[in-house]
Parts: sequence; C-alpha cells; structure tokens
Amino acid sequence: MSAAWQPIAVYTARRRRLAPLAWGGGLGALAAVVIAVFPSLRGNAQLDQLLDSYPEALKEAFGITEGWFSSVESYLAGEMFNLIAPLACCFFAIHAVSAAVGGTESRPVLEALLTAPITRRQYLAGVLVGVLAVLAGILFVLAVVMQLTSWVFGAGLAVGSTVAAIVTLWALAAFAGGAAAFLTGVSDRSVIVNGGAFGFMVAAYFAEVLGGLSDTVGAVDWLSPFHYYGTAITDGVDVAACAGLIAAGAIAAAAGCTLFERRDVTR
Amino acid sequence: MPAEAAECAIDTTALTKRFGRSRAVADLSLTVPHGEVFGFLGPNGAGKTTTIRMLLGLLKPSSGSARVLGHEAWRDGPAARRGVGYLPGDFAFDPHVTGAELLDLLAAVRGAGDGAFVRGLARRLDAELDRPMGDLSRGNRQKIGLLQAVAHRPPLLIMDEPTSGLDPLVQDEFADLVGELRADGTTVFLSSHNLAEVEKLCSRVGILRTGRLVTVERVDDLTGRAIRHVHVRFGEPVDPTSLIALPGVQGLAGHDAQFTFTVSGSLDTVLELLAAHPVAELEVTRPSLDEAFAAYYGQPEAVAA
Repeated sequence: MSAAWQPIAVYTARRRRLAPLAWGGGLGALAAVVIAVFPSLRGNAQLDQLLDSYPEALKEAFGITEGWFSSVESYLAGEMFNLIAPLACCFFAIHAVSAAVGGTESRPVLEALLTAPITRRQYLAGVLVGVLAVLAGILFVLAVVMQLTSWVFGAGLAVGSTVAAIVTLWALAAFAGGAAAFLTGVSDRSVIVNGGAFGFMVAAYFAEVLGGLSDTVGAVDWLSPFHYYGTAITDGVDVAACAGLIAAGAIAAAAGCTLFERRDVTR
Repeated sequence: MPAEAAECAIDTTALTKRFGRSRAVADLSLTVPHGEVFGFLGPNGAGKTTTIRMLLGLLKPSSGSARVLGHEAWRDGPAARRGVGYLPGDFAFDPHVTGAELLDLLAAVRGAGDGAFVRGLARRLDAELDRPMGDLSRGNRQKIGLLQAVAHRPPLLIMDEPTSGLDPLVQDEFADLVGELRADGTTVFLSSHNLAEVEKLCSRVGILRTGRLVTVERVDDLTGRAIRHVHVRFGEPVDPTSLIALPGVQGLAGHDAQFTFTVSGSLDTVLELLAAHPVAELEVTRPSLDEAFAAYYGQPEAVAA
C-alpha cells in the first residue's frame, strides 16, 4: 500500500483535533471526581460489608469486587473502567469511523477524496489510523488528569496501573473501530454502522457479564471482546489479550476494506 | 495501457447501471477522443450523474464497461483517476477546512499539483482560499471546486453541472478557462442543463434520455439539421396552401404575402417554391440547441445506433 493513506490519516486527526480535550477532558473530569473521593472511602469496612451483601448479579454487572475500597485502582475499575470508559471510547471510535465513511455528512468529503487516485482501502486505512491516533490523544489526556488528581488528593494511583488501563482501553476501542470499519463495507448508512457496531459492543459487554452468572452464556463469552479487556487497572496489561483485540479489529477492518471496495459510493 | 497511448479519453461499451429494479443507465456506448470538449445533455434523472460516477469509479457498473484514459474505471480506478479532474455541480467539503487546506490535502493525496498555476487561477477567479468552506457561498465553493479539479493539470476534466449557482461574470470566466484548457489539449466532459453554455463550449454533444443515449452529434449538425425558422415576405400574395403542402413545413402563420413557419429536414422544396415567386425579404434562422434538444425530447424514445 502506497503512502496515499497518510494525508488521509493526518486530515482525519486534524478534523478531530479537539476531541482529546473534549472527550479526554470529560472522561478525565469523571476520573478526577472518583479519585478525589477515594481517600475518604479508603479501607471503609462498613462499605465493603454493604457491597458484599449485594446480589452477585449486580456485583458482576458493575464489576464490584472484593476489596472495592482497598485501593484506588479497584475503586476506579468499578466506577469507571468497567463500563463507562470502555463504552465511551468505543463509541468515539465507532462514530469517528462512521462519520468519515457513511452518511450524508461524509458524502462531499468522500466524493472529493475518492475521485482522487486513491484506493478505498487506502482511504479507510487512513481514517482508521487517524481515529486511533486521536483516541490515543484522548486517553493520554485522561491519564494525565488521573495522575495529577491522584497526586493532588493523595490517592496513591500507580503510574503503571494508569498505563495498563489506558493501553487496554485503547486496544478495546481499536477493536470497536475495526468493527465499525467492517460495517462501513456493508452499508453507507451511518445509522447502521453506528447502531450495529455500538449495539454489538453493548451486547458483548452483557455477554461477558452474564457469562459469569450463566453456564450457557459462559460457554460463549470468549467471543466477547470484553472477555479480553479484563481489569487491567488492577491486574496489569495482558499483552496477549491486547494483541488479540487489536488483531481482531485489524481483521474486521481488512474485511471492511474489501467490502468497501466492492460497493457503490455516493449513490 | 498508458494514458497517453489510449485512443480515447473516455470509452464506454454497453454501460448499464441498475439500482434495484430501476435502470438508471442502459447500454450506453460512447467514445470521447482526446482533446475534445464533449457536452452531455439530459434532464434531471436522465442518468448523467450516474454515468459520471461510473466513470469516476464511485459506482460499479451493473454490466458493460467504462474505460477512462485507457484504464478500466472500476477495476483500475486509481490509475484511471490519476489523470482526471472532477467538478461536481454543488462542490462541498468539510465545512471547517479552508480552500487552501483542501488544495494541500488533495495535492498530497494525488502526489501532484501545480501550485503556481493554482495560485494564478485563484487570483483570476477571486477565490477565497483562506475562509472555511462552510462560510463560502455556493458560487465561491464552486470556484474552489474548479481549482481542485484542475490543480494537477489533468488531461481529462469531468464536470457535472459546473456553472450552476455561478454569477454570469464567473460563468464567462469559467467558459474562458475551458477554452484555454481545450487549447492546451485537455479533454473536457461537460454535463450540463445550460444549453447555451454547451453550444458555446462543446464540439459534440450526447443526449441522454431516461438512461439511454438518444444521439451523439456535432453541435453544428444538431442545430443545423433539426429545424429552421423561416420568415418570408413575397412581392405578391401567395396561396398559403401551397406552403402547407410542402414536406416538413409546420406552424404556418401569416397571410397574403407575409408568412412565418418552421421547416424540419431539407429546405430544398421550400426554396423551389420561393423561387417561383418574387421574394422581397427572407430570413432563415437556425434553432438554438435548446430547441434542437426539445425536438429530441418530443420524439418517441429511441436509441442511438
């Protein structure tokens, strides 16, 4: 593949240049509240007992683990990195890919760029690289806010834990972006791409949650990308799992490129 | 096949496009040689834009083939488009991007661009390169569209209703530019509703009707062959029935010695009758392309051979 994808990647990243501040800042604000509150809750046995009394299904659904209040990492995992942050980052990746390839908003851009001597594979590759670079920027801002807040409030968040959470989150969102790229090969309607890819990620989340409660679902929860997402902020990076998520996303994106090259554009 | 070696800039054979059960373009066979300014006429929904999108590799033909500069437009799209500039009817882009940024982006994607030529042309068109596309009027966006279409000095320029929304001064500037491009050897494929513009710029036209090519003719032949308006004042009263009886004469008006009518086909029989009487005044005018076009649309559907 020639370098024609590079200007597309740069353009895509520039088009979303405010996203690290908007999305990273938003997620960072949420993380800051969680981290700032944590020192006042640290090691509170009564709260641990209260949570212990919750139904297993509820604890599973919200990632409530034993020792929830024993470390800021556990608390962040349950409050943020179990559900909100991954779904937000996946939504960003899906929406950004979808907006660049499908729907009426993208039509003039597609018409101008795809009538240049560039393959659709190069275009979609450029879009994905640009989106993933912006996603890295979002997560960088989030990581900086988390570490600064921890330092200010004395929460004791380890840098390694933050890096592990961010890297795994990026891998999961990269998978979601790949899933969106696959669907852009199937349809030029952004509602189908957004709805299909995000719906899949939400369903995958529930499959992973219910897998812990039901043997039937548990038998297939390995199909869920959340199965490989895990709880990196407390457990560290699972390199093989992250590589698997990225590889699966790349395969989905490659299939999307092939399909995109075969369908009509801008009817 | 290298672009320069291709016999025709555009060559389609039985090109057909269906959307579901509806047929947008049917069996379109057309050749446009290098250096020609070709007009592509037809009303809305005739299939002009669909044809252009197949030439640009945006739409996959249902059957048939389209070759552009010697390359298959669908299978070998990037190679075909390397020598193509394209201006749609209502050019738009990301509203936050300025014209200058867009031109830089396309130059990077194409790996080609003639900066000095584009800057000169931008000054000539008074194009606003530093304002975001979203802040520009339709006419000013169209100027940016024209700049991006010619920035890499393509041997083939495809334009789809290019002057819609432009003021007359810019339309004149646009016409001058097309004339210069033609003089430089650029092939221009111009889809338009503006028949006066096509008549002024094009050497041949293809007329599309409900997805089928009705005819391809030289503009002169089309306007010359179809009908003529005749105004005659005889030196003495003439029986109008002798005029009505002539083949091809229609719309006779007037009386005694002064008549107006139209003639389709040959003027020979009319001239023979006129020669039998003293003629004080005679005016024969060719129809505009507009009228010739209307004449085609008045006919039952036919397919060019």
